[in-house]
Amino acid sequence: MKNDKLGLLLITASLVVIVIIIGLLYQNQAKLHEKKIRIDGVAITRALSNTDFQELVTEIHSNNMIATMVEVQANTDFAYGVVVDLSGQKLYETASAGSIAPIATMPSEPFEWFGEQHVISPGDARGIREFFAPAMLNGNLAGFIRVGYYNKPIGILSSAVSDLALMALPVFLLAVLSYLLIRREVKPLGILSDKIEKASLSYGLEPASPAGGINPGEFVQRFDQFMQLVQSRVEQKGQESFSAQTSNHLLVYKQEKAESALNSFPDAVLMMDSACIPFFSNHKIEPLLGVGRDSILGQSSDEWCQNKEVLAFVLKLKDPNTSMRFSSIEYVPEDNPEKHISVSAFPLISPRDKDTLFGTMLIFKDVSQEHAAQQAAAEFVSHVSHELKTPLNSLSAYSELLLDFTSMQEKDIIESINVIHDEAERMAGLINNLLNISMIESGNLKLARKRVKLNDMMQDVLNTMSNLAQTKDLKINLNIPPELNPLRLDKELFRIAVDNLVSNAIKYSENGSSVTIEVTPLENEQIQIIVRDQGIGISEEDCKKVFLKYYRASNKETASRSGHGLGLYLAKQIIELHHGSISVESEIGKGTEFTIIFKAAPVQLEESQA
Amino acid sequence: MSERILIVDDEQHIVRVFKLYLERNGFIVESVGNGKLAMEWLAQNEPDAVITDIQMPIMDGKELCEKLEEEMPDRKFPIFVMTSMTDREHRTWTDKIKNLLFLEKPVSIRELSRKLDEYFAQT
Repeated sequence: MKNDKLGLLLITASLVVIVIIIGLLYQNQAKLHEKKIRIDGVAITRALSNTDFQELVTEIHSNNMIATMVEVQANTDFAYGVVVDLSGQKLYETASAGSIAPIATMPSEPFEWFGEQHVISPGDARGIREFFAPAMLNGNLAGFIRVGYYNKPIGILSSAVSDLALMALPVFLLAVLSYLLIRREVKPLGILSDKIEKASLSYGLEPASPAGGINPGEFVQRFDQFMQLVQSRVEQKGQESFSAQTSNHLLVYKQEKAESALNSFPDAVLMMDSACIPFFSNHKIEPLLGVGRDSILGQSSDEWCQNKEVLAFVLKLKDPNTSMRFSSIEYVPEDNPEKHISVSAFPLISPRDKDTLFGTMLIFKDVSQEHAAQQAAAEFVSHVSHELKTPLNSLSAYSELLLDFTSMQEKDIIESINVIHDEAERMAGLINNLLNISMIESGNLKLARKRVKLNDMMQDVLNTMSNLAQTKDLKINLNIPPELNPLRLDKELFRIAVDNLVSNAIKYSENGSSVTIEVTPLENEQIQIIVRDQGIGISEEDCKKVFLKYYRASNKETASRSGHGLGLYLAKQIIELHHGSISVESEIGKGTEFTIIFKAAPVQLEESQA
Repeated sequence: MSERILIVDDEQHIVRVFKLYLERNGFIVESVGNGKLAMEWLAQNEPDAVITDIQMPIMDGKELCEKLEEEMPDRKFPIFVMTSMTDREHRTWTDKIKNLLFLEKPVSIRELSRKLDEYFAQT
């Protein structure tokens, strides 16, 4: 609406301009015309005034000077040319078509003989501008020469019309074009204005005056307000975007931190959504499942899960009743029966809402070692209970014998009491072994080194073992240099280690063979103790494992002999506590040789006195 | 008539105490150190009962029982097996053996003597 008014204004203005231009042109043309008439009129009258009188009045047209001059001039506005005598009588007259020279009073004073005057054409009442000059005959005034021209030319406008039109057309076209251009430019401005208005309102700016129409001043003001508003908004948005960027970085950082934590987690982690489709897993999942992470993430469970047990376990998690609780299974991979893998499912519950479940976290853990340890521990318990029950068996039987039959031979009574004593010691020895192992393993056992004479200790071992050796008709040889310097050892522990080696040698020897103990001082103050038997021997494979906890060679010969798989393990721990080493060499059926090498710590002065 | 009992065990003092106790209760007690020796003895003699340990060198108690089942399907005498393996798993092999009784370690020798008396009283 505002635009239309502007257009109208423009068109009107352009028309006014055209009119003014036309007016000015007309005025200019009229002036030029008047000037031309004056020049022509003055020139012709002056020229004719000097002409011979006869040549002015002759009726012979071709000889008449007036006719000739008018013809030469060829002024389109020429009205008439007349020669009159002093009484005003026309002596000669030439005129354009339809024109008649009016009667006029001529001046009498000589200074008025040259001049001009306005007359009215008697035929059509048009204004005529008449120039006059005296006509002289023999030096005397004989009459006047009068030449008239029409004042207002008829063709003055019509002749200029095409020029005017040519001039007006571009002006008019320009006006229209300008209008269209302005309209085109203003139209988006109007839309913009409306939009600004709406936007301003939505941004909480006061509404503009309700009157419509373009008000440039107001528009500029509104535009300025709007721009300020927009600027402040942009700044605000900039700050918001900065803080959003910062929080986004923080989020990414937190996510990366969480991912790195899950990646460095010692077990394989797999996170699934509630449809059991994995959305995260760490690197350790690949070797356990035997599938690349690409084939796991985003895949349905029957695609990434090859193992039927695990698949059944995972599919159960689709049930919300199952997935909200912790559950776990243990399975043996089909391609590796030695392995045991545990899978635990932990519900991923939203920290805000206990009823919202994000999915499930599966932790795959290779528990082969734990499983082996568990099995070993179970076997150990079984062995230990057997080992304890065997002496207990004797204790029970002999005490029942003594209780039920009081009238026995003294020999039998003494033997019974000896058996009870020996078996009680055997039990105590086993219990001590167990206690020592648990102390060594928990790191609570510290060596209590004392001054020890190795000769005495080895002799003690020999004496203690002689009973056992006798039952199998074994011969024990002890080779030790007679004068060894005293050593610093934890006497009780070291004795346990040596006892275990010697009792093993006896246990695994065939009846009637021999066991040899050799003590040799080596260079660098080292001592070597060898315990050699001629027993059943240990296979090469078992030799590597004999020092492992609970390990017992899995053959019938070994199974037939009582043992708990702790003696050699304990011996190794004790020797290592003394910064020594223990090794084994054996051949099946030929015998076994255990070698201990340890550094003989020097005896301190105060101890050597003890 | 006093019953003959064969004790199969490598632990000498167990054999001794069983012998002392059971002989005083009127049984005739014989003993061998392992399953192989037991089989040899049984090839020659007919006991009224066999008492055997499981862990023994050369031939253990399990193999002895299986051999007896195989080689003497018509045997009449019961086998008393002394065992400390209380769980079922270790006993599955005993299901195949006829006339087998368990003696849980530690064995009460009084209880054993009473069981033998009861057994022979029935037969």
